[in-house]
Amino acid sequence: MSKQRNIAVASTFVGLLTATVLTISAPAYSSEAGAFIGGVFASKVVNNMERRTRAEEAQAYSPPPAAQPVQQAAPAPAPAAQTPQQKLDQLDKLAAGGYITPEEYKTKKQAILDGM
Amino acid sequence: MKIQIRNNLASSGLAVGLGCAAALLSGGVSAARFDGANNLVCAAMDVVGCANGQSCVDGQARDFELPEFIFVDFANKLVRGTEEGRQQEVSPIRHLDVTEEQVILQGVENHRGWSVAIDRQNGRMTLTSAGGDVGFMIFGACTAL
Repeated sequence: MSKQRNIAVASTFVGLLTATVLTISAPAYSSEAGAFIGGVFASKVVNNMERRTRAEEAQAYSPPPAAQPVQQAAPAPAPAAQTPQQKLDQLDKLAAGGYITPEEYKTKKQAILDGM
Repeated sequence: MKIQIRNNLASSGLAVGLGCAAALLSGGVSAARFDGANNLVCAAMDVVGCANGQSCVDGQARDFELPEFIFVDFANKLVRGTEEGRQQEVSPIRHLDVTEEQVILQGVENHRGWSVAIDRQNGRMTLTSAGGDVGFMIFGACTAL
């Protein structure tokens, strides 16, 4: 009976000792609530940094402002394909103006006629 | 709104006043008062915060909505804020060192380490806090109470 009581007392003592050692060796971090520099300051700075970073990212990824519609000049109408007659008339004018030699006139005229 | 502006102006003025007072109190007298025995009130002014892998941000303490004043209670080894209407937050000072030039306070909270260095000549304060890939610095000025 006495032996059992001694064992119980010893167990209790060992338990208390273990709890005490664990408590002492645990890092003494302050709780989140009530902390000043590592609590209030840190959370406000970090929150502000995150807010700014998000804002900067949003600005970086936002689409560029819509471009103002620019009134472009109407494209020049594509030149209509000339008929052989028109080509020959133009060729005659070039020859009459002395812009091409008689040989060039003959060669070009033959080419126009061949393309008909 | 007017009250808010007035409060901001008042606190800003006080902060500037503290800075000027600390700057003016140079010499042997101020060095004697920044001795790690006389309690201090410090004004937070400029803040720089950096996160690992990101650019740093900076601004004034009010931009970060920080408490503008910090009390250093050497007798109880505490640093605390002054915000009214809320539970008083405190930071226990784990280590205090007074060198010829600086009063240095250090502590640990929420897995972050912090230190405050106060120039004994002019009272200028540099507060740093680091942890979790984020570090920040707060510059300000202190005066003895």
